[in-house]
Amino acid sequence: MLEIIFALFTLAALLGAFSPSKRWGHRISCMLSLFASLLLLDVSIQALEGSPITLKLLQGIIVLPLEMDMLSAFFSMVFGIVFTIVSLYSLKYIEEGYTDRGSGLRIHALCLPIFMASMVAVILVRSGFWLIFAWELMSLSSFILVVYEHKRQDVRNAGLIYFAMSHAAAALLIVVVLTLASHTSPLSFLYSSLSSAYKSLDPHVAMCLAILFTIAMGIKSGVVPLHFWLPRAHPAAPSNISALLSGIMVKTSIFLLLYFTTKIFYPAIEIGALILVLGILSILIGCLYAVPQNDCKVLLAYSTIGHIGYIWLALGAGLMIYAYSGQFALYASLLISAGLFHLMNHAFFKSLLFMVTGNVILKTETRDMDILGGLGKAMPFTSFIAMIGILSLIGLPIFNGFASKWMIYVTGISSPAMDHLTMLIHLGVALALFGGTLTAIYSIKFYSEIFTGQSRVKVAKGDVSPIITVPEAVLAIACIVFGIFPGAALSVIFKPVSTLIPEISVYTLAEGVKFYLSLLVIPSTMPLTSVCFTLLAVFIPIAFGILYALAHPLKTRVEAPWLGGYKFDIHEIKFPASSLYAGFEKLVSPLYRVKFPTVKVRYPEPNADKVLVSPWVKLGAFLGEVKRIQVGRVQVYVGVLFILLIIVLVARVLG
Amino acid sequence: MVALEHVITPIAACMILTAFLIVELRRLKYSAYSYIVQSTLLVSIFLSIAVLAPEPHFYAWSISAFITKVVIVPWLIIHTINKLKAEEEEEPMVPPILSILIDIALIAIGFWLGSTLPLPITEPGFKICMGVSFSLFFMGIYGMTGRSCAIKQTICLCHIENGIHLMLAVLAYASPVTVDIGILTDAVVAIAIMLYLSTLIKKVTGSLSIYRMSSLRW
Amino acid sequence: MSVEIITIVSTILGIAVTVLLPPLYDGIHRKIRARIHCRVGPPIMQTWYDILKLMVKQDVIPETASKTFLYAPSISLAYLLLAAAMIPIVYWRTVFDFTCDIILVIYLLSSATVFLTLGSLGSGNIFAVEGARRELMIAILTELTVIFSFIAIAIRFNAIKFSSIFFQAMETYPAISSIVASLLLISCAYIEGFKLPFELPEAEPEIAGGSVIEYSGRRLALFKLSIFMKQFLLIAIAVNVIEPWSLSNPMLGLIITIVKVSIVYIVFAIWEPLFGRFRVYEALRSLLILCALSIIAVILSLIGV
Repeated sequence: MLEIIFALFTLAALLGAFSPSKRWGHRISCMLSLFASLLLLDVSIQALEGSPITLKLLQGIIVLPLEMDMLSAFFSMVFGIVFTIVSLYSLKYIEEGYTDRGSGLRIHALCLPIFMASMVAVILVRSGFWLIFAWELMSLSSFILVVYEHKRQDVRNAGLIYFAMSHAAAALLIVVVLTLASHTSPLSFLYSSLSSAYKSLDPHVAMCLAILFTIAMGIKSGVVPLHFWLPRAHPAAPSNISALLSGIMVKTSIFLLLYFTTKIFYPAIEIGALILVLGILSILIGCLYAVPQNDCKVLLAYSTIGHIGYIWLALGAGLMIYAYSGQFALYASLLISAGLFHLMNHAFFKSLLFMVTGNVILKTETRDMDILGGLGKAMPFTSFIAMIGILSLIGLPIFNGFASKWMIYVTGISSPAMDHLTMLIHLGVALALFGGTLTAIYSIKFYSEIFTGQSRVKVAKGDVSPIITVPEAVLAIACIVFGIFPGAALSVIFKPVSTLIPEISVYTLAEGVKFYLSLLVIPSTMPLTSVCFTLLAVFIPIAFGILYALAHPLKTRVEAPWLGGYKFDIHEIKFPASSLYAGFEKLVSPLYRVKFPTVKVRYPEPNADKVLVSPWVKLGAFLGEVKRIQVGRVQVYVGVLFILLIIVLVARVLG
Repeated sequence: MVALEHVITPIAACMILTAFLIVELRRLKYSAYSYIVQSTLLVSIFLSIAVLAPEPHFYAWSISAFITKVVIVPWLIIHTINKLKAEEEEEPMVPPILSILIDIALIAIGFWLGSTLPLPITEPGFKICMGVSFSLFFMGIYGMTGRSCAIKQTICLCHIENGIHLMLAVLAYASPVTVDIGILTDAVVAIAIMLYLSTLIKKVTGSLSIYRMSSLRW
Repeated sequence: MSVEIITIVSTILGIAVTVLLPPLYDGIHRKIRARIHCRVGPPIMQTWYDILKLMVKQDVIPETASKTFLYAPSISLAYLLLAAAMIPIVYWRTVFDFTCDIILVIYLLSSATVFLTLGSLGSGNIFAVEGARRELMIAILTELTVIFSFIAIAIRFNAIKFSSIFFQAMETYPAISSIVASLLLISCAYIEGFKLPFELPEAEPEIAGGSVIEYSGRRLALFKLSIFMKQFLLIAIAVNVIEPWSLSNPMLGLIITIVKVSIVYIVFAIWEPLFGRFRVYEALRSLLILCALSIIAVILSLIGV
């Protein structure tokens, strides 16, 4: 089955690239990718219910082992759903919006199926050699797709930065894989042999390898501090590619992280803590930086960084708890399940939101929220879908964002006592709650600046075509369904988690969730369904009933908005997005500056002078800067001594 | 009888709150009032030590602390504020959000250090008091270095003294009363001199910011 | 009476109290403020008369309004009614106590802010945008304080479900951290009620009504009712954490809660006329102090005080 999927993707790419008619080649390519994705979805659901699939292609040292075990099946299911929808979306979107703008449909038709196939391959391969191959293929095809509008300077620069960071991650990955493979006695790249090689390594070297691997996956996921490529690359790409990048590609590295740290490396507290801390930083920085943006796709890109932080927080906390003691396996598995649930939900609503911005770009040709506005009337269906996406992003009850975030918070707060590590998890949960508030702030900005208010752009007539809106509607329905019935998704997620953590079975997880109910500590997620039903069935009708039951004999009157009795020009009364939260930005401006520095790509000329002399010049300049510490003020000296005092005391306590 | 630590611990917790208010509030009079509240809490700690873990000479200590810290020093400070008509201090160099983060970090670090440094502490509840005294000390030093108004620095000096006295009370139970009186009079004298200097600064340079004092060099 | 019937009755009592009382308290507030201003002031039931009058007025809608403008007040009212059904107001447990935990309540209460600002922004009037953005900026820091206060309470009582928090609170003595956290919640309730000095979103002379400028008729009534209810719910949680011993009996709980909340509202009413309106930066600066105090409350609860 798996070969058929890959064959279909390859066929789609070839047909799209080499067919005589550009338009039809692109359409065939998208339709074939659609079929391949549906097949992937079907195969993964079968694998989740039944038994895993194993496949070995080629022989010898470059054997290509593909395996769809439970974890890969879950990820493939999520990928399959999003790929299906994005393929259908790309068909119309690239045709309508981009034919005059880029290198054309052929390149897109060639690279899109390869991109999708490589992402699936990263999930399915079980050999280090083929992992690197699939990873590089993924980076290359996504780079080509990101620089679709290669005639623009900023798009090219963004693509170059993205390519460089992808390769940095690949380099670290190569180092890890080669180091491990060099310790296998018959040389083999299979994951099973890498796993035994890891166990035979010196503990310090092993820890270094694990940290390098985490950093590599962090680069690709876009966690802080190596996230700076993400807000440049995701907006530069066409919206369907942004949806794939934000929704799916950052998740492949999370799959590898989870798989490697549980099955190949042995679980360690330090790695779990590192993942947890990086997650916390990503939440804060991602959500803080999203607030002042005026480009809607940059806002969503920073939002991706923030939500990847949530997933890393949950996974890191789970790994840390599991590594601390096998007794706490139940808590650890609940946290990992929460992380995977949020991964799935984030894939859904983030792809949805990027596709919505694609709709907006189709109609208005701009991404700048300073001049967008008032599209709710011109594009009613899109604005409705956008509202669902926004409410899921914020995480309000009924929508899926709430279910997964709630599970992360509750299981995080209820984690067992483990000396200082519990405080770290609680701190993470508190900061994640604050990140939730910031998410609400920028989501409201996103929706209001685009869909309500006044507009300064010309809007093409009519809403976008149904080929585009129907897939988005499917994702929106999925968001609501998984929000009201989180138990359905969780029963699927418990299966791969029980394979990762051998002490726990699916039955134990389901029972554990109910058991802790009686301890009044972790509530089950089933009651969330009853809450949502009460809300929907009882209170919303009551509230709307109050509104509409007392119908007034006179009809509703529609007037011009009241602006103090003055007549304003329509363009004067649009509130620009870049200054919407100016007071708050002024308050937090000491903590961060949000101006993108202009990107300079330098081509160093080989010149002996530069190579031999300039380092010393730089060193001298640096030492010259150090003399800045001699400020004339006594206070600074006292402050420095004070900080040294604290450091000495802390070292005394710790050492 | 109530155990000593059940009485002291909540009082020490409130002292952390007042520490934060002293450093952060902009209006100098409110800072001074918070200082009065903090000194009252300190005096009540001394009184409870005197009553509950019977140490009679703490009575004398608490009375002298009351007179100096709650009556004399705040009166001097508020009198100077009224005389100089100094309502609010200028914006310090540290922006407010960074200042808040530094405050919280100092309170947490100070507390942690105080509770875990290996020091000869007799009663069990006193570990929290050690933590609080470290926090007060750190907050006071931060207030002195981070703020530019001379009167605010004076208040923070008194704040440091509060922390040191708390540490003294916890560690050195049985010190004779003369030591205590010496320390307290030193506080009053130092504060009086600093306040007089503040008045002079205001008269010469026209403002209370110590950054302008550098022009006094020439 | 069996426990289930008591629980159901107390849930219904809680919803009734949350819907009926807050406009009364607003009336008391207006009366006391008027007396401090040396005026006679409106009767105490005036806010209820206003709401009922608004319900029978004709709707006037701006032509730039979007669907969010039309539906937002009702949706926020629905979420707040759910919160009123879940939070223990007169009895230490409600029908929903198997699922009512702190995180859910934080999200339900902040969903009111989210929907109300979405509604104001949906009206298309630039004054409404100005009011809504001020409200959102204040909400960032206020929600931070609420989050950390609730976390302090949760750490203190080592539980996140409200029923277990109140149950434990009835058995033990109050601690400094929970009292400080409750006082901070009461301050946040004051700020979220948009009374001076935090009257930024509805600044009458500055922005002509701000976020409510285009709302009229029934929607305005639901909007105001939502704000009152949210304020009331925060105060109800806070006073019940400070004094939980009356929650063992619904009737006693009802009377004592009404008394406690009345005291808080009277203090609010006396506090408000003393201030002028903050500017945005000043308001954010003062809120930072509240946030820091809430973080200190969490530190205190971690100590165990």
